[in-house]
Amino acid sequence: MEHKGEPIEQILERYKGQNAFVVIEVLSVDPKTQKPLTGRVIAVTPDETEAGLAARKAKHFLIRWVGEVAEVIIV
Amino acid sequence: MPTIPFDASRRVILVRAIAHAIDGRPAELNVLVDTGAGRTGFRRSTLIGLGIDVDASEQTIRLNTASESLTVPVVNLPILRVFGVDFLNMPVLCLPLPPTVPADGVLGFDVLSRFWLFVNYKRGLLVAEPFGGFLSGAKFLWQVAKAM
Repeated sequence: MEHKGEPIEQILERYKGQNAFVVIEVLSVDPKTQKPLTGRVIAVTPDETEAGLAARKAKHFLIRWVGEVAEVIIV
Repeated sequence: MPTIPFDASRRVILVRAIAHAIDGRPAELNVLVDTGAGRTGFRRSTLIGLGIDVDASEQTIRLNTASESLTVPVVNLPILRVFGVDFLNMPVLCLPLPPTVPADGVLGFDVLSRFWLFVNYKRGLLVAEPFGGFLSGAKFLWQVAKAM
């Protein structure tokens, strides 16, 4: 049976505020838009290199920061 | 993919892109559209996740921003899909973006200059159409009219 995982928004909400990168393997996408729908957590770490290395284990991945978000001012 | 909605309340244009590793594995990215940036670049975590060894890069570039100057690695990204267009073996920068910046990277001039672009900040709509002759020009104008 195909494992469909958990809604990605739900995963990110669960880890919200932890000041870490959450590495998620995408398990299903919207057939129309191809946007990720569900996935499973591979790693939760504040270290970018660790997050990247963990993502290498996934067939399809995304990495999201769950923590303080700054207003973006790039000059 | 000519018209892309974005959340204007975030005061940045954040759009979706997809990068592929050499073995074809895709990564879902949120990237900033930055018309002030000369080059496209991505976070270290994203590039490492795609199987790229950023520390072994033989090429670096001196990056000058309005606030600082720093040296960053340049690596080749196998495939980058932006606004429905694939960029192959594209040299990109490894950017030290702070974690609190809610983006995996920045789209700069090297990518954006391949498109007609129109932004309606009030409605939060970006129209992007790759250059490609009369037909794509007409498509672009039609989408701009709808996004006004």
